[in-house]
Amino acid sequence: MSDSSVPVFELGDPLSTLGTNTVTGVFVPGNKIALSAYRHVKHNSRDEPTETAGEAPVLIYMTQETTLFDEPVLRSILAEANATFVTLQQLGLEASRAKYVNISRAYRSIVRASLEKLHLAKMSPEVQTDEKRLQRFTDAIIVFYAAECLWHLFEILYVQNNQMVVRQLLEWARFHSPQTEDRATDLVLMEEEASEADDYWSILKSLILLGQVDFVRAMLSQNRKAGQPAFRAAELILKSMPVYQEGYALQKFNSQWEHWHVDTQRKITANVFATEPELEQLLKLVAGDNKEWDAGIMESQDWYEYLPGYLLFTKPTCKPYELRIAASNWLNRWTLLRPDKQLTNMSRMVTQLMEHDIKLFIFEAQKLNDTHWFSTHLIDLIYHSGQLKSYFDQHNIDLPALRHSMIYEYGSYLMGSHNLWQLGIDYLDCCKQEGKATIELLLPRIPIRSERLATKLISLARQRGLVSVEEEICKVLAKRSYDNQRYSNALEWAIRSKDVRLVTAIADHILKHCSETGKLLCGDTLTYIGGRMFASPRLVFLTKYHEFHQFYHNRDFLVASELLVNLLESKITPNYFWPSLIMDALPLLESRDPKIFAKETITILHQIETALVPIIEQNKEKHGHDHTAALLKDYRAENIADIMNFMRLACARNLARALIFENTVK
Amino acid sequence: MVSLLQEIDTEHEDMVHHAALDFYGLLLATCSSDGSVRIFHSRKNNKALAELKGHQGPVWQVAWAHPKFGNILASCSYDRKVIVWKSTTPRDWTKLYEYSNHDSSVNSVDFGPSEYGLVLACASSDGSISVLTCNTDYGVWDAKKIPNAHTIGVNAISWCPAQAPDPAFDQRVTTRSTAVKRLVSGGCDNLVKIWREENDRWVEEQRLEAHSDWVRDVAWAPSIGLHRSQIATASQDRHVIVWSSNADLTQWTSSVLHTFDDAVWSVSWSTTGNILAVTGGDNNVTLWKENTEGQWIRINYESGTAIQSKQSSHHPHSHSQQQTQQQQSHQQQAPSHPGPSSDSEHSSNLSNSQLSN
Repeated sequence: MSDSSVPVFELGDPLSTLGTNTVTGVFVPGNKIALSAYRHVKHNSRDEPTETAGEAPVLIYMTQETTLFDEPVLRSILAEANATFVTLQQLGLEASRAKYVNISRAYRSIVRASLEKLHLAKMSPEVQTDEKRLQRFTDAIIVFYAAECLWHLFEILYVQNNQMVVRQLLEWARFHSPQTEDRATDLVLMEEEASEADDYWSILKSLILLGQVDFVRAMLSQNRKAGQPAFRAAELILKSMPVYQEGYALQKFNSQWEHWHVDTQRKITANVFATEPELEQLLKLVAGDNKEWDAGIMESQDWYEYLPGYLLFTKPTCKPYELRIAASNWLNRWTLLRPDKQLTNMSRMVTQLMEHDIKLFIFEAQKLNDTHWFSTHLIDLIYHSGQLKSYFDQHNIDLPALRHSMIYEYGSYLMGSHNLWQLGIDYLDCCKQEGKATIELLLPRIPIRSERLATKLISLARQRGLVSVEEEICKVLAKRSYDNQRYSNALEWAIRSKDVRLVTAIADHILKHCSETGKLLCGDTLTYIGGRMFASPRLVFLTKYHEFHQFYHNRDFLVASELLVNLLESKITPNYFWPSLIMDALPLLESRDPKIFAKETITILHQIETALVPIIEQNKEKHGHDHTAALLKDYRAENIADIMNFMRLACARNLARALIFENTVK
Repeated sequence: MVSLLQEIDTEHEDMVHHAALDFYGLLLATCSSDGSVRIFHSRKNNKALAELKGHQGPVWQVAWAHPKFGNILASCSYDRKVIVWKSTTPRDWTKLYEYSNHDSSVNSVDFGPSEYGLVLACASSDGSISVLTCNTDYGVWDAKKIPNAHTIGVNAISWCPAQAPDPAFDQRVTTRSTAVKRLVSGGCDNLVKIWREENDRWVEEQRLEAHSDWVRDVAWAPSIGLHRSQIATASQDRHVIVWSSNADLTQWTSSVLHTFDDAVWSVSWSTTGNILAVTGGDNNVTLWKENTEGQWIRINYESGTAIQSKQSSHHPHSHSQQQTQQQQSHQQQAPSHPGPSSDSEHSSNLSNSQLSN
């Protein structure tokens, strides 16, 4: 492939053109490419400023594939098409033809509505004064106009499955050359005055070329000379023109039409209209006179413009397969008469559709500058309606694979784009394993701006069974809340993430904070934690310890004591928390009327000797005497040795009191 | 076509060697020959949020860790050091860890898949690779070194994505689900090597030979659930090679993407691994994509994509010219679709070979 055919995005970065510098680009998250000037460094390059240092600013350029969809107006096309796409997926492959036609129309009406909005938006002062946006709107209008026009034709030929196509083609042509009709409406409103308008006859001629017989009749009937024989004869011809209706016997219609046609020609030859040359011209067109139609061709904008009209007056029962020949004949005729005119891409695509060259049509459709909006949705519709299945089989095109790759690309594009990701998911959902894996890759990368968004992301992940994504998002939020010192939040998210280490780390932090300050954080969360406390043994401890705090504060000392003893013998007490737990036990042990029974007191003593003492010894061995004090401490007492002494004494005194109490009260 | 979103003036005093966006694409980190690392908002054109000073030489590369570990950034430098930075807000950065156990310039750093915890691979000109693992509970770092990974030096390093086993699709993946860590490296011995962690040691699993000059960059493609893996390698021999493996990564086949006009310096994959960006001494950034038949084609999104730094003498302002042509031909209601009228050879899905049969 020769480079000259590739349009180049030129950066024009001054630094990258200095010396031996070049440019480099890397993909960065968000479908972007970061570009910057580059200088190749060898392993033996010296560590000194580059010769170009300081000569030009060092810039980073963020670039992205150009997209029309930066405009909110256009984003609505994506959103609405997404809804239609989802409906089509639900329809499946076996629905009735009418359903697919409805889908096709739904897509087209989305485009039509957007085109209107685009036209309006383009006229707004904000856009008119912004050159870039104006260009974007102009481009968008061209692209979506083409998309609608081609889609409409495709629908007529390949979705509706009409027996005859002329009537539909007339409607298609009518929609896509509205100027004539607009002017004709003006003229009709002028009534008799219209006859004097300069363009009266040229508009009438255009109307005939477009096959708008009713309009022609309306205008002729308002002519000042409408009462004259020539006009009356013309009205009669136009009025009696047989129009094929669904359900007619074709042969009968053909003979009627043939009769009418011969009659018209006869009247022209009999000089019935000789007094009115312009009127005669019109009727010659109606009779299919080649010379007159050639003259019409000379005035057409595009090759296909007057083809439907020509068919109406020469071959009103044209069937889709006959259209191929008619179209290619007409195109040849047009090219001969208009050798100066080059076919635009859209005209070529119209040809491909009429000539049944779908393969080339799809190929061209992918080059529309719409990020594959048109081709993706159209191919999906082709796939579902099954209409062209045999065509694709004959041409060795794997339609399901083509559809899959188009949808996958389109979905990945949307999902990787800022603001559009939600629309992408539905497309990727249709792409089996590949789509799921891509969602798994891209979903966690959506910047989590709020907890609400996080909840949404999580539910999307959950619907698809992407457990790892859900957990990852929770972990990120836990870490973020933790860094921002929002510990309740951090704890909630950590529990949801099912990451035991993370939950433990946060519980540790809360416990350590408590032993340093006496304040227990996250009270509310811990109160309502319920079964979720089993996320980590440390959290179980923290929750129980919190319960103890609650009872103690409510002066429910007996229950508090029981809980504390349970904690002391639970074997889940973290080493660093022993001093605090003991300090908590002291007032209960020193209470005048015993709160802790003799048996429990012995248990406490036992725990101190078997659990805490070894920890103290270990710490001494490991860190030396001084360090132990720093590791094992509580805000109420610095020295672990003091704590131990208080504790042993308190236990002894409580034991004495409890024994007396227990043995006397009974 | 490609369009410019932002232009960020880094205000670095010398060349920028690498720019990286964080996981969400919000913060940009740049590193420069001036020895500093700078942090920017990626969607605004404002001044640097922070400047990270700690290196005493050119900084070659930066890498972001997964956000579940917080805001963590690693940088590597000519000064033989790797620094891991941590921030509480985008403006406040502190050194979390410094690793200086390399004997020469450290050329490349890459954080491993977050499933493995906070783990960083470093490639150095002393020929060795270091894998640094952080025990996030205690903030303790452990370093494992692969000595003599590549003689003369290691230029680039990249992690194999963690293979998420999906029993619904494949029962066999259990063999891979034990989270085998893998790395790919490229070096001055013209080799590409794949390393696997085995019993706490890193062993050479594969040696991929096809380049005839220094390998400058390696990039393991993101995994999108297909049972294969791809690695792109760029070399001074002007080739980019895409290596593809079977499901259990035991066999690798090479396919030369393209022979460029000059040495190739870097390769990078898009987030989903469907597009490869290649940069080289030919002053072009080109984008490549594998079509359904497994051929690598230069992308023509709609009207083509190529990025050049210099004004091309053959067709200056080619883009603007096209646009004016378009405007002329589409005046009034003449509908046609934009883009060049030339039949480009490449389209993303239907390739020409399919069309000509």
